[in-house]
Amino acid sequence: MNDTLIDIKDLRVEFDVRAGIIKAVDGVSFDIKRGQTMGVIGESGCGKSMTARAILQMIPKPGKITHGEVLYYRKVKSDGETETVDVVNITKQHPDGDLIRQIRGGEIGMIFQEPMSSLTPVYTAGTHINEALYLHWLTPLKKVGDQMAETVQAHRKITKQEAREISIDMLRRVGIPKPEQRVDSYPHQLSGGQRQRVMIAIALSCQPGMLIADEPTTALDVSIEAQILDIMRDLQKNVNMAIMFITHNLGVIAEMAEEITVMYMGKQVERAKTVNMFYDPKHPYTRALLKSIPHVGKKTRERLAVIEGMVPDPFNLPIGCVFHPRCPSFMPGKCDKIVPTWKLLKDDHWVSCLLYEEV
Amino acid sequence: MAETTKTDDILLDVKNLKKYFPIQKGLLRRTVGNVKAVDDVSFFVREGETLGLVGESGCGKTTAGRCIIRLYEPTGGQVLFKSHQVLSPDGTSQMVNLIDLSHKQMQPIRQEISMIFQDPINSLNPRMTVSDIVAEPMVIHGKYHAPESEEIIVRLLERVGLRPDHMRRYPHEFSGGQKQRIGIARALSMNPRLVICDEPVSALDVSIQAQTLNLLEDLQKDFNLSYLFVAHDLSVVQHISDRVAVMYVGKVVEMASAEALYSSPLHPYTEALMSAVPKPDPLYKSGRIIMQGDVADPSNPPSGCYFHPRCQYAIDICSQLAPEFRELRPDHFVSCHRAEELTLRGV
Repeated sequence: MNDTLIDIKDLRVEFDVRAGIIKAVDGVSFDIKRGQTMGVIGESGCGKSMTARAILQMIPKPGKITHGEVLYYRKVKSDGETETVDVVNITKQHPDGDLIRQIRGGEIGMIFQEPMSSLTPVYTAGTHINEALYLHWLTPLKKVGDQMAETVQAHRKITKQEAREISIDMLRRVGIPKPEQRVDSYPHQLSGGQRQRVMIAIALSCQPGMLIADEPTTALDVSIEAQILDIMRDLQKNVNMAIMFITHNLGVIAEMAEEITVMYMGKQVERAKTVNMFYDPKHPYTRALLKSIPHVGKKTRERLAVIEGMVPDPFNLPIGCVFHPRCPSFMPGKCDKIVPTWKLLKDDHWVSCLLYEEV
Repeated sequence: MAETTKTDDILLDVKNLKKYFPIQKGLLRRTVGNVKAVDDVSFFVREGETLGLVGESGCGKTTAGRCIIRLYEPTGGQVLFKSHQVLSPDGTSQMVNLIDLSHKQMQPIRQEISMIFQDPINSLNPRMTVSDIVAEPMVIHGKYHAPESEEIIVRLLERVGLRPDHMRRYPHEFSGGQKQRIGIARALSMNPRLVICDEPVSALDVSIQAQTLNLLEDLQKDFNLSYLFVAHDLSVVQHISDRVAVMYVGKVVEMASAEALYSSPLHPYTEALMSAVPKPDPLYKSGRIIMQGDVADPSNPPSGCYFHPRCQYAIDICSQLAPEFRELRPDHFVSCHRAEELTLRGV
């Protein structure tokens, strides 16, 4: 049985603005398996959020997908068979068709970075979760005993009372105290950590097969971050959900992900299993990134290693390897002329760097 | 207390600082309560050192920093500063209590204490050029003299890693890291002795963050600066600080040298906070202590020790009596009833 859930192939997203074309995502390919956590790291503007949004076809204008496909191996509920859907293709035909709306939020959930601005201030926590349930016409989260009833209920709208009960249950599962009362709270009555929990509850209420978490803990304090990461891991185990975890925090990614993709200026530069990425990084950018963070508990009076220079102007990208002006292993005559290819080094360790190519 | 701490090189001594924000309600705006943002906070900064002030959001660390240069008027306490501008009758520098000064008396001291802000975008006026921004403190203090000051600005910009031709540009033309460098140049234009850095790198990307931290360390050596480094990122604070103070709900719960604090913390909150930081090492065995619940509400804090509802070591006395902030080991201050008996885990 094929356990791949999402397969992104040579995805390109471009923004056509007055000053030129920005290649926000430039040839990204990776796959995510069921139940697996794929980490995506990179600095701001490297295209990690755009890659995630491309999966759900939520690229803001004037951006558009110019190339590539996002294959989604969709489980057809009744018989456990999978059908393959190219998400890019279905939205070309029906931009707001039933299928993409079913996938978006129903089968693939998403959590955003800013819990305050992603919740509507005039709706209660419960209303937010109900909305997701009504939209997807589901009766999710059946207990084992209810499995029999499922076939009866699967194709009808849920009632208000059911939705409320499910909402309370979801809030309880994400660790909100007194969920019976909190279900009627408005976002401003909740703390930052609780808001993010409500976001997770919304995203998970329809039992998605995959969760896209775009910097879910960046706005939170470490003690709350620890709680949220714990909840996400627990829920993942319970429902065998895949997670695409986007962050710039190397500590968080080390804890959460099984596999990591590193992005720089819209391109993926390295992909490996988490342990290999941290202990045997291949790309000079990954190496520099790992060295430039202060480690808690390792006090040295040494200076931090820095990546010289700045992220290049997106309208005027360097020729050859985009990282070459900042690269400590820059090879004149090679890196500034030839674009490196995406190459498999050894078991599941991919890199795009001329150091590992014979040219 | 076996040994007492060396005190003669103290530059800034904050004693029992309080800042309450009133909660007003009703038609007559009657005060019905107080948000105790900073509640009886004491710490000191020695000359040439960096004191890190860490804590979760809402713990009052920014408010404490702002009270020092009286961007907020403190409700109570003392802020003693060894000023070179206000001298004692015999010509030596003396500790002045900044809270007692009038605004006019405070003005010269503002040359000696400057501030770097968290948000590099909103802390620079978009309608001023870089040279105007960096020159503004000089103009305000009447120290701007055209040709010489221009040169000083050029030198400062070069020192923080910008080019002289950036002088005539506007803030929007720069990246986040460069904007923060402009903010740093502005903070240094009056030759301060103490710089209050309020989350100076939290808005920056990791690679730029490392550049900025290195720059701050270099400048500290070159200009003999003292930093009060306010931040929430424990690894950044450990990297840059000589000593660290940990705040929780308006109070400093522990203060010690960075080494002592991280290797052998004395307060359960410090221990839990450090264990919660995700380590950039996939093989690290996380013995994480997950603090239950949320940070206490500063307008309605719990009784006794504010941390007791989340503390795994809490006993009866913790909910009844507020612990005293005391020097348990030389230069290691803590406020916890059980500090002597507990053996806590560092990182």
